[in-house]
Amino acid sequence: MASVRKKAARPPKKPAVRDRELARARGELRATREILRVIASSPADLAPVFDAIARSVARLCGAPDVVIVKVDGELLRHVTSVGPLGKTFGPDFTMPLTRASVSGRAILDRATIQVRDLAAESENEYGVGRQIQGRYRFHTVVAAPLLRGDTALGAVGLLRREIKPFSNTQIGLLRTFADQAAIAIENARLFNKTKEALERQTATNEILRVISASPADAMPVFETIVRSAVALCAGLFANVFRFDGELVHFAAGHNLGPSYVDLMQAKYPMRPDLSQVSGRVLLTKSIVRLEDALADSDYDHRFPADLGWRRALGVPLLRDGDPVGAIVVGWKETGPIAAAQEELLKAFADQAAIAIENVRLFNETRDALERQTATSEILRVISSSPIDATPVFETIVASARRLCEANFAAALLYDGERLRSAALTTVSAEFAEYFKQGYSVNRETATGRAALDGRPVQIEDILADADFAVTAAHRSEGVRTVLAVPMLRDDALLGVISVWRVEVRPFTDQQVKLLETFADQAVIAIENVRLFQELQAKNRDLTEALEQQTATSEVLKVISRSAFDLEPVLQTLVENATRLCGAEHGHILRFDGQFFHLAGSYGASPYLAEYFARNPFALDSSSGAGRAGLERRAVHIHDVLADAGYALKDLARAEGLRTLLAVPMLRERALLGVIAIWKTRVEPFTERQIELVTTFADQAVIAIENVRLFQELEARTRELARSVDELQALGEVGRAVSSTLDLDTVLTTVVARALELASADAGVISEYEEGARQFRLRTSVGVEDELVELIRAAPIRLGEGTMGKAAVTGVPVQVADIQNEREYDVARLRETMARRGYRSLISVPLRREDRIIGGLAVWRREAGEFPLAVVSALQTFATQSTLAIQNARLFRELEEKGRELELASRHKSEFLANMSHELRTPLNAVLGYTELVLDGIYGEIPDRVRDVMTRIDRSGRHLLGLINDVLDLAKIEAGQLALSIADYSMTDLVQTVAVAVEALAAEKRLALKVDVPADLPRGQGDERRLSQVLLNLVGNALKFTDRGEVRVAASLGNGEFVVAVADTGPGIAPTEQERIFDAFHQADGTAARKRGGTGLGLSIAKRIVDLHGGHIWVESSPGRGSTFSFTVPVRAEQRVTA
Amino acid sequence: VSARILVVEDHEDNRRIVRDLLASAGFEMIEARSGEDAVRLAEAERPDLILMDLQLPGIDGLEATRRIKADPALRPVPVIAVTSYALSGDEVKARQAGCDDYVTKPFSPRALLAKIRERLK
Repeated sequence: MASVRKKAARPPKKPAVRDRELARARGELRATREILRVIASSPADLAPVFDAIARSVARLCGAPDVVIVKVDGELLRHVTSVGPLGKTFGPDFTMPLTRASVSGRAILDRATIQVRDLAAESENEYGVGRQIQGRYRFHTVVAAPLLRGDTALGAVGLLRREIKPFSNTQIGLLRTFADQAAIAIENARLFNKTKEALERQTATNEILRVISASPADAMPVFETIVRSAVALCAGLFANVFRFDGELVHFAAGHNLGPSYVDLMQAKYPMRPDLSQVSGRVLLTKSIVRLEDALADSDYDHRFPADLGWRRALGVPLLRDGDPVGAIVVGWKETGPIAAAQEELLKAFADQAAIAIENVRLFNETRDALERQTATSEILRVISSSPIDATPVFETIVASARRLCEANFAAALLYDGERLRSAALTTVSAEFAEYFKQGYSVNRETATGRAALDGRPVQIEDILADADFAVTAAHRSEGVRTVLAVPMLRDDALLGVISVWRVEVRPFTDQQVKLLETFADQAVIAIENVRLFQELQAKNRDLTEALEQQTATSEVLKVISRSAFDLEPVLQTLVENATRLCGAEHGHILRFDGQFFHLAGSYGASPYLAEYFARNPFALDSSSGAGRAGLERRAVHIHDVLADAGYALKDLARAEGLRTLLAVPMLRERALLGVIAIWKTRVEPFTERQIELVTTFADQAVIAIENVRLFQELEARTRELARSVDELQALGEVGRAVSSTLDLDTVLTTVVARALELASADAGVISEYEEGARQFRLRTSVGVEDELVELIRAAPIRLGEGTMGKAAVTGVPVQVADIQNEREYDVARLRETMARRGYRSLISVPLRREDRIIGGLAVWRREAGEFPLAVVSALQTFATQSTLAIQNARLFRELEEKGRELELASRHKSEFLANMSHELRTPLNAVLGYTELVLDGIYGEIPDRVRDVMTRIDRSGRHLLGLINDVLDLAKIEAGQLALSIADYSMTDLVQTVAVAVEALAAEKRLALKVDVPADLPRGQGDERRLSQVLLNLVGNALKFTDRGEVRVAASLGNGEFVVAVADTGPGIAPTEQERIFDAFHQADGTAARKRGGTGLGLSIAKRIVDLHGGHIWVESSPGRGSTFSFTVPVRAEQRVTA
Repeated sequence: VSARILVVEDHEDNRRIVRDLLASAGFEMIEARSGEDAVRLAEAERPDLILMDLQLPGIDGLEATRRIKADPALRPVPVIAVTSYALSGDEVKARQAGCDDYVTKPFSPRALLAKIRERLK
């Protein structure tokens, strides 16, 4: 097996060979052309195409035997064949479509296949092929598939009886022919498929075409239908009948002979009955199938007998389910009727029904349509001529004449008096003249009557109407019948339309109605025109108003934008006023109480502006502006050259000014100015324009007022702002004075603020030195180093310059220009200050009571006096500066004293500490010796000596107590007493103190009562110092109480220990209670002397309690004992004392 | 054997009180009037205990104690500071300088004797 695709390389060709090839190519081309021609000429018939292909293949491919097969389901069926061997394949030849044959394989593989020798192929490979080969005896075979797209239609096979493979060229040709064969097959298929549909379509189309071509007449449709029915149903005849609900009418027939037509005409119209197919159809309202008319006893046998038909089919024509007719077809043969024919006839029936319906509708609508057309024409004209009703009237009269079948028509409009001709169809010149005269509204004419009565008036014959005023024109025109219809809008007469006939023939009701419609339309047209004109006028007004509005809003915008600048506002105003009034020149003049000054102009020559500047108008009648101002109203001079009072005619002439409008600008009755606009031609301004300029004048007033108010406001604001600045500056200075004691900071602030406020450039504050009688520069802001050095080197002396003079006089002194030598006498500064650009300065004295403290001076680079407000602000600053300097001085003193005091205090503490040390040494000797003596170190001592020694010992110990207290106090005051914080038991503390004083209490026979709970929590604090406090309180209580008891109580409350020591002693007076905790104080000096004690104990106790964060107090009244209490937090912490 | 005690004290009366006290108690006493004397005598005499006044002419008691305690041979000798300074921190300074005990003036001779006896045990 070998599958050949395509070409091998070709060897170079010789001319002879080339000629041969050329000849062959021509042959191929010819064959192809032939086949294509055959395909084109017999699209529906494949046989000639395949024959042509087979012949061409045989000739060109060098194969005498060619077989073409086509796919038919599972089989390959013979189509055609040529050649001695090919011919032996009969038309009934078939083989299965499998890969077991060469053609089958070519089809399934979609490839051209050549087998060199089919006889040599195995049974497995080509089982079917081998069988065929065995029968037909061939060897080399090639098969090409016939493909349409991917679908295989069949195959072309080339057979050789010998073993001789086909060349590539031959196989290529075969493939080409195969493709052509495929095209032919496809063509045929498509052709056959469409032919049938086409035939029916054609018939239907024909009928539809006829339907549409004869909308008013069903007959041609019926004729076409019966003809088509006979042709397509292959019938003998066909008839169409119409049914009017009662009778059946014969409408059309085809292939009826003359005798049959006679029969029909004799029979029809008839009531439907069983003797006819049509009757049966209409009675049953359904299809009637008559298989044999002669076998039907109810049938009128004359009909089938005449034409020789037996079988018939009848189909009803239905409209909305009701029969309106029938279609009947007859055949020669008896028997059943094919379904396809029945379907076809039903389609024809539908079409016939449509035709009937069409005709009915057409006739119904034709009249309406005609009227509609006229109406729409009129409406079209109305809509296309909104501003002119004339074309509408012309269309109306033309339509009226035509549709009312009149000889002529006229439209007349009522002007409130007479009816005047608006449109007229062609009439004789004479009659046209009659119309032109118009009509009076009276009963002499139909038109007049219609106008009077407000309804259509018809006069059938004017010659027979006694009231009608027949004229010669009527007679010559031959007018007889006339119809007139009024045009009314809300009962108001707008006009009349009339139609005339030159014969006596009344207009029908329909024509009257039509004319009424026309009249209505004419009203619409008139209304349209009226509305349009109104609209246009309104639009004009609106446009104008809009323009003015725009201008006004522009002016307002400018006013609001230039609140402080009048010029653009006035300029805009005069511009708009001039422009909107169609004027050429405009001026806006402001009145200053005496003269007018040009404030803005538009379109005016520069000369005019100059003229106004040189020759301001006065408030007199010589000028338009003057006159308007004088009269307080708008002055309108149509032509200034013709105005006797107008004095500036030369100017007007030179500038070409003619018409003048001058409108005053008035605030209440006050004249602010005038707006004057000019035209260079004589053309008065309209009321509206005058109004407009007046509006502009009002706006100008508003603008001027605005500016005035704005300027006032601005001035106030400026003033206010300065006040605020001043206040702020003062506030700042005040804050500086109070917040810092640094004099330089304060004075620098003062000078800086003073500069801001005075808009000055530099400033100084100097302090007066009394001894030297000169001013020492203290602070400067903005002053160049050069000048600072100059001033330092040679200070200003008293009485010299502004500062020196101000100090002497006590008032501010200023120099408006330092270049004026008489004014400024400090020659050594003048030149440098001038070089630095300073021009003016002011000094304000700093004085306290009558003492000179110094001076504040500010310098400006601008000549001139300082404003009063500035001077007064500077004075305030000077006061502040004085205060600051005073403060600083006081503070300096205070600080010094404080330092001294601190030192003294420290010395005192040190002294006390030292004292305490120094006192201990001798006291040690006193107490030491005493103890040694009492202990008998120096031998036995007599009792009297022992007694004395004991007293020495006691005094010595008292002294020691004093020394210790003083030391404690000194430590406290020196901030050196620190607590040793540790855990302690308040219960133990109280008990220990109680034990310590037990002996003393016993000695004085006083009851010592202790009340302390055992379960007090452990505290944190300085146990030794707290013991000292309690010991002091209990000691004092025992010391001052002679009778009774001392009670010690401790408790817990609020996180604090509360310890109270109550006695039954003399008590303490309230005044004393306040001072009792002060150092070196005892309630009663006498008592102190009597009882001993340093007077420091309570003071120390208070400090210790304070250090613990508690407090101590006394409750007492004389004669009732005292209770000293103190609290300390359970958990005390170290406190830092000052 | 009676113990020998170096008493450093510049104040005559106070020195005598200690002397009378110690003599009545049977102690031997060596006296120094300045810090320098104290250091020298301590090295020379090797006392069993030293009573050191802290406020002395020349080098003060603290410095003298430091020097004495710097001598390894003398380090075990107890030094009892006797001072009229009673401010807080004074005792701390004394103990930092090497003092073993601290007694403030005015002292009770009886109490001082008890302290000496305890130290010498």
